[in-house]
Amino acid sequence: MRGLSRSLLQFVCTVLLGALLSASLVRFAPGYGMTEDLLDTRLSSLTPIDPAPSLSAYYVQFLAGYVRGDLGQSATLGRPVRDLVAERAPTTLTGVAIGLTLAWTASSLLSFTSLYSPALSLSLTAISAGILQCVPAGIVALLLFLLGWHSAPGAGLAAGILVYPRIAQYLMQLIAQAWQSPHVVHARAKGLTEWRVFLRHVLPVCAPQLLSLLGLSLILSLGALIPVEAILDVPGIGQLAWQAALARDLNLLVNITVLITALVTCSNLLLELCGNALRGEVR
Amino acid sequence: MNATLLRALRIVCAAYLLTLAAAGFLAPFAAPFRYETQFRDAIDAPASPRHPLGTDSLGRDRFSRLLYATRTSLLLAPAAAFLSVLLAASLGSLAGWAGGWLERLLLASADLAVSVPWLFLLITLRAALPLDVSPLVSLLFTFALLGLLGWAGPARVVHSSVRQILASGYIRAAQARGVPPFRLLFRHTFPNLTPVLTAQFWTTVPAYLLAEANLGMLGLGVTEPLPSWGSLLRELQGQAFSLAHLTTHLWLLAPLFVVISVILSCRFVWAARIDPTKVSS
Amino acid sequence: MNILPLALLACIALHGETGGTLRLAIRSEPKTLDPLLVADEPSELVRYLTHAPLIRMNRPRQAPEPALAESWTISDAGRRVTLRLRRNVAFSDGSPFDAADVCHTFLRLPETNSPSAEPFHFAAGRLTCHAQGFTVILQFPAVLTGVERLFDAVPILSSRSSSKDRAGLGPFTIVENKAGAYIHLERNAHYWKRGADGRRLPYLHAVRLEMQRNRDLELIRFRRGELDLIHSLDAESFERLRAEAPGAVLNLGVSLDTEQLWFNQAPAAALPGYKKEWFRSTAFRLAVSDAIRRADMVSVVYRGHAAPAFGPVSPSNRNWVNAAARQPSAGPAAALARLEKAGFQKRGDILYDRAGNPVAFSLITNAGNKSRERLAAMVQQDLAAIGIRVTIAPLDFPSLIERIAKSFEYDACLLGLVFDDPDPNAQKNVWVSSAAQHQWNPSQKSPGTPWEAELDRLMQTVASSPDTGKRKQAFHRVQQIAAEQAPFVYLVHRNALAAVSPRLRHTEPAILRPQLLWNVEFLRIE
Repeated sequence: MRGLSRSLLQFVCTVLLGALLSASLVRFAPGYGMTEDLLDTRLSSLTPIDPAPSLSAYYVQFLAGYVRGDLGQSATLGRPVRDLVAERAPTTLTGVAIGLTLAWTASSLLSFTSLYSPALSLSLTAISAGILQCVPAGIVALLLFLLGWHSAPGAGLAAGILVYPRIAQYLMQLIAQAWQSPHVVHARAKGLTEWRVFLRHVLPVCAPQLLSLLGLSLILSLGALIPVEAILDVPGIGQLAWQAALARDLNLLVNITVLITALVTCSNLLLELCGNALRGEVR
Repeated sequence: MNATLLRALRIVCAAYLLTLAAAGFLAPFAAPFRYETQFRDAIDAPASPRHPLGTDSLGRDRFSRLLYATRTSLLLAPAAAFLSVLLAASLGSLAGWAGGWLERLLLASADLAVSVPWLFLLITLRAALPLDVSPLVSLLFTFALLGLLGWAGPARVVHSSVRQILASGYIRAAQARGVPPFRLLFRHTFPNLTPVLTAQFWTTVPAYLLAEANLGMLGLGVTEPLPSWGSLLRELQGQAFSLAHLTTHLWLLAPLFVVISVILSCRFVWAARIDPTKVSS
Repeated sequence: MNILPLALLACIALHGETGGTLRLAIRSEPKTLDPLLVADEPSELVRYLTHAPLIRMNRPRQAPEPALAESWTISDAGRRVTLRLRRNVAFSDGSPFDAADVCHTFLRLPETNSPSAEPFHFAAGRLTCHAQGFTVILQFPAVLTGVERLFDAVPILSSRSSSKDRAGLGPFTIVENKAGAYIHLERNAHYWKRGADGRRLPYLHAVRLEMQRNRDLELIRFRRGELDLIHSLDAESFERLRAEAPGAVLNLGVSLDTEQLWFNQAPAAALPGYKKEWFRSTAFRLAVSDAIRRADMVSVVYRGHAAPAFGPVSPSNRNWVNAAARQPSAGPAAALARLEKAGFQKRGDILYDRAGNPVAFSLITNAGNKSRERLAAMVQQDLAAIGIRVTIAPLDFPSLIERIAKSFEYDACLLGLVFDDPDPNAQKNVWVSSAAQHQWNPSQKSPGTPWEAELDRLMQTVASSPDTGKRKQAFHRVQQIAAEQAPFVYLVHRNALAAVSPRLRHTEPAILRPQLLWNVEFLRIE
């Protein structure tokens, strides 16, 4: 119970710190508060540049908003941040789902081949992951675009391609190690079928790490989606973050940071807790 | 896959990297032209003996630009990777070794480091630098920023390795013998970390090469007229309006080929280090 | 017997009625859908499609034509406009249109802060509006030159409709707005205009504006048939597309826009004294202008699809250009001679000023704009030939704006100006020394130099004289001063280039925005 409350405290502190950090980043960035209207030759008198809120004032206002459940307005798009994020979340989640499904399916299929030929399985993984890992995300996006994939599924496919190498390699390492562990060797020596050994002994050994890999791959695919969405103009959270950064949209960028920090911290903490529980069980 | 073949592959890759690096460093002598010289009467020229990879839209020799770009990328990416790994080694092992609140603090900052939008810093980097700094300096800062910000991932790996090492039998035995903690760290833990750090270095170099390429494709970190792999790939994006065009203008793909082959070589040089024969036997 | 052919005809007619969907890309999200607040290009396009003005500029002819007003007269030296409105017109939600809507709209303008409303902010008082049935009398407290042109940007809003600003008098209405993805517009069933065949316009069934920030990808989608139209195509893509499908490209001719560079002359700028001295030296600015090879820029960056610029007015603006003031650049040798006369000296590859400082400056431009990055690289090479070292610093847009509009921390800047209006009033805020867009030294309390004082007086004449001859004379002198003093070093006027699907019919090319969409109600997709 104490561990749980401490984790919760850590979670809240990290997220708030993330918000403060990104708010300071944006607030002190060159070009904060500048809009293109300032260059509009049709306007003789410029709307005076608002004296930017001090960072502490902004932060207090931001926290107060959170307490009321109000995420504030986007300065550049003139709409509530909550609506903007809610509108785009499904697109990005679809992308993440497609990407993860593809990457995990491919990696799992490859890992099953380790039942028949570990060497073949290892080389296939090394080659496929090695090659895919060498291609810049922008090129993957461009190639998919040329092939006619430029909507949410296209971004998902790109995310899958970009995340696959990491998952496949890690999974393969895990499973290869598990095959080497003494009790698996013992089970095989007793003459159990390979499938049985795999399901009853190899998988349970890997379970905690598999779980943490799942969390990691979620974060990785989100990270991969940001440039892909920006390049392919897919209307997801990634594109929104990109626009917000280019336009110095303080509120929008801070909220997206909070969202991502919360996801990252939450998944890491959950995995820590689950991992501990599972490890206890296996032992 | 047998060990001899892997070793041979590793040697070939290392030789390739060295050759490219040498060609890059000798660019001022090896390149037929300066990277910024414009041949305004020969813009977008196809490959020819005079311009082996043709010229770009300002009539600059692509081959020379590729050589100069290789020089900067092959110099700066490893430097940035070294910086990251150094930070990761110190912070990660500190977290693993100290435990308690310091460990929590460091791991939480690692979480923060991956979730705060540092991309934003890269967008505004050029504007934050003095305007009259040379393109090379601004590229240097881009890589330095990548190096400074990329510690979180490797630090987590280092942290868990340190925990593993500290939990191992011989460290416990040393502790029981009364070896002081600092000696434990420097004499018994760090030497065992070397393989992990090397592996992290060799995975981080390609990551930064890719990061710079992606930044270039997004139009960031562009340092006209100094070429980088990113800016060369950005040019490719403009040319790649159809697959058919690319297949008839294969020389346009040269930068992509160099990027992919260098990263692949980095991976092979490293991959041969972890011993897969242990598994495949 | 006769039923079958009739039914067939009906089918064809029905098919003709729904004239397909026109798809094109917008490069950013419209910042506002409030038609009066519009300032950015995508919002302007949406306003053009969904709302209608009283008087419209016929883009190809550059002349006014009736829209919601059937006829109008201007009296009191340009202070009063009397308009007769069209009858039997309804907003897109079915509510009727009359004079009350016109007054409702115009009386809102003085409180509205936007480019289209700004000309109606009078220092001397407020405009008044009298509605009498279908006649409207607008009385302005001061002379307003080029009234018809200003009316083109004022969309008439409904005073009664419950859906307020969403109810428009334009040919289309917004049906769906998926943020970050697309805006789908369908034909306004109540649109008042009818075609020559008596059918209710527009012919198109729908217009779909797709968000596509990346220009390269926009071109790929056009080639694939997913988009029907690209405005402001870059020259490289234009040439490539022309080689493939000559019928799919359209050169609309030299636009009114300019690309120029200028030196920071703001007294508040934190620059070393010797740099300020260079930038304030007319000889220095003219020498830079002389050393730049504009013909190379036209052929390299624009593949010939641009005109070298020697002044603020494009040669395609035939009514207002001062041909005599357009002095071609004299070349690097003349530039060096001019510099030496002004005390500069070239030793080896480097130019030094009188005090022995090597001449070097940084040139900022907006990152991501390929043409500008290339222009900057060419300026760099051209000035290297006379010993000036230029460092190019591409900045993202907000950072660039901060430097040129607020902090003045820059040496020189390369940027373009976009003009949608051939009338010289469009350039007023560039030349008047108190204006914020007087880029080289903005927002001056009193003009810093005698020639800037003269510019102020001349632009006052241009803005307020009802006599076209006097306005023209004044603006010719403005161009003369621009050439003599070179506060802006003009580089090129680029051509308006477009890609048009061969399926799109009845287009009428125009260089003024919205270019090929200006007669959108008549367009068809086959």
